[in-house]
Amino acid sequence: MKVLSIDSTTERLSVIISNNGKVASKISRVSEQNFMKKIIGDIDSAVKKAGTDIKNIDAFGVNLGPGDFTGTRIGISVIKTMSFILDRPGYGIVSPDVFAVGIAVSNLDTLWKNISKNKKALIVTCMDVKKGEIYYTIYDIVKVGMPDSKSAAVIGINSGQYIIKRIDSFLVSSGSFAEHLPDKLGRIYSETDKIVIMGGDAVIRYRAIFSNFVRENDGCIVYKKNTFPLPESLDMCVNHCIKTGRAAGNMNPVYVREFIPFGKNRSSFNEEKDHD
Amino acid sequence: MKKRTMTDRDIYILGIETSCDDTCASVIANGTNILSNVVSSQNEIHKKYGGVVPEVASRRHIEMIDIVIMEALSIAGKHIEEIDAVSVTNRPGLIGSLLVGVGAAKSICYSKSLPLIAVNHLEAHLYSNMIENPLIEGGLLGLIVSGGHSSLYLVDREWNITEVGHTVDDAAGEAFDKIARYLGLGYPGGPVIDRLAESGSEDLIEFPRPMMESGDFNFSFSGLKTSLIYRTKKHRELMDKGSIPDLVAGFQKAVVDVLTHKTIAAARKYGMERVFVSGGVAANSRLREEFLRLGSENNIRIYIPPAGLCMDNAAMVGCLGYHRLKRGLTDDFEIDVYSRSDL
Repeated sequence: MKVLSIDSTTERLSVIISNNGKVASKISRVSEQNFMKKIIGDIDSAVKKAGTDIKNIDAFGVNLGPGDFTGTRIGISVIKTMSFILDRPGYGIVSPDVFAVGIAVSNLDTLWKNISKNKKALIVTCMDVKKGEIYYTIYDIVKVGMPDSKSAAVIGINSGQYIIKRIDSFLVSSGSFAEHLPDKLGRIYSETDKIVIMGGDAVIRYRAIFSNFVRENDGCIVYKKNTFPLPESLDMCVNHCIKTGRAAGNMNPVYVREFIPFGKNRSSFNEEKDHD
Repeated sequence: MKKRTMTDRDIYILGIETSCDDTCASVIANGTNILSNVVSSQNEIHKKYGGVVPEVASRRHIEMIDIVIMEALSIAGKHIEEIDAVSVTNRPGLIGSLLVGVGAAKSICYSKSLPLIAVNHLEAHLYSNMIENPLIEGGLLGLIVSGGHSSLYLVDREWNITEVGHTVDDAAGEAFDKIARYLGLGYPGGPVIDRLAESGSEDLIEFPRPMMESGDFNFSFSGLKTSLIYRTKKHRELMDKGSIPDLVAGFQKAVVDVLTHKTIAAARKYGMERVFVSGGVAANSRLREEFLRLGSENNIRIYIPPAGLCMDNAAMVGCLGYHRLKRGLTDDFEIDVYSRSDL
């Protein structure tokens, strides 16, 4: 099973191909030129590096965001078209899932400390979504059972298999994050032996807020590496969709806010249309 | 990209157009036989804002692009394996809209090893006249009149295009849209003004003919719009329901007079006996009527596509793609999108 996935939601354009879950080729770089110019060239390079042909790809994946509007649309436009033209399934993955898997895989020992003692271990992906706001998603790490639509991927921790399960997402102002997260963690927050690993680009953008939060809250850790969605994590999420028989085809961008142009109705006489 | 060897068999082009607010795909054979021409219009979505909102347009394009392409292939009864090339608009237009269509076109061409042809939206409008007249030769004058453009072009025998005039402010279609919004007639303005004007008298309320005698081939419609606004502010009764048809008929006649007279004058100056009229405003019934009358009077053959091909569509993109393919003009996968681009 060869899977090709693309992430174009940040300033980094990534193409990854896996074969039966093992990475066969990967191109991931901050592109000097815009993605529209480079995307097919990078796909072609990844395909050649994997020693295959685009027609031999069995399934496609794409990061749906939230992310950079333009970049995200380029990746989705290419992958959703490729999927139907080659008549192969295509899977859209939300960006927090990709972040969560990346954070989990990079912190297996920390997670194991709690999991091995049946204590709570959570991941909180924190995305900088501009306008002074943070989009955060809480994930639980649970023993493998029946994966549902909220499971991002299955990871191996020591000899056990664990599901990274999405609990809920919230859009908050950066200033209210420190009060909002404890409230949403509820009962878990008061547990003394919990571990909460926070990662994502917001932990860098709002460094001071997260440093203070960690200082004031036991069991909370900031993971400052990999502040972009890792292509290997995207590939794991896509392969997880395939393995669990999830429905393919939903490949539309994810936005954190509804777009409301100039209030409701314009009364001004300024024309915004710049082309027919 | 490798040039394609042409044979006598039919050539099928898949055209894709997403430069503004319509998601369009079409399959056209030999640049003339339209097998499908799918347009997913966003008019209803943008109506409440009184104009196209770029971010809203982009969001809709990405949702619709695969559905529209599938529909175009399905209606045409063609499988992607039977398509010879993909032609797509990559300029000028809204960046967020263009990149959806171009991303899809590149994806198809790479997946199926097909030639990719990137075309200029304005040139495609000119070629909309070639769909019904595929054998016509170069050496003519072109007018593109739409919501974004009001320009005159010389097209030489080798199909090289040179601009000889353009609007210095608003495009004609833009003026129609703005007036319709001001009068509370809805969006888009062109069709509703055309319809209302039919029941009005175009000589009752006189409007200026801007730049009619300017000595060049440029246009200006902003002052005309302002004239209507001042007029209605001074004479509020002109805004009454019963007066609106006369008001818009007079306004429409002024726009039509300027467009037709300057176009015919340009044709005469440059010795062109044929004129291609295209773009969304070319669907205006009064403009079509007046062009045909003046063309006949001046022994100039006027070509105007059917109304459906005046609006943004992918058949014209496919038609231009066919002619570029015939000339061996294809593009590589590094083509970009551009918000502005002259012919």
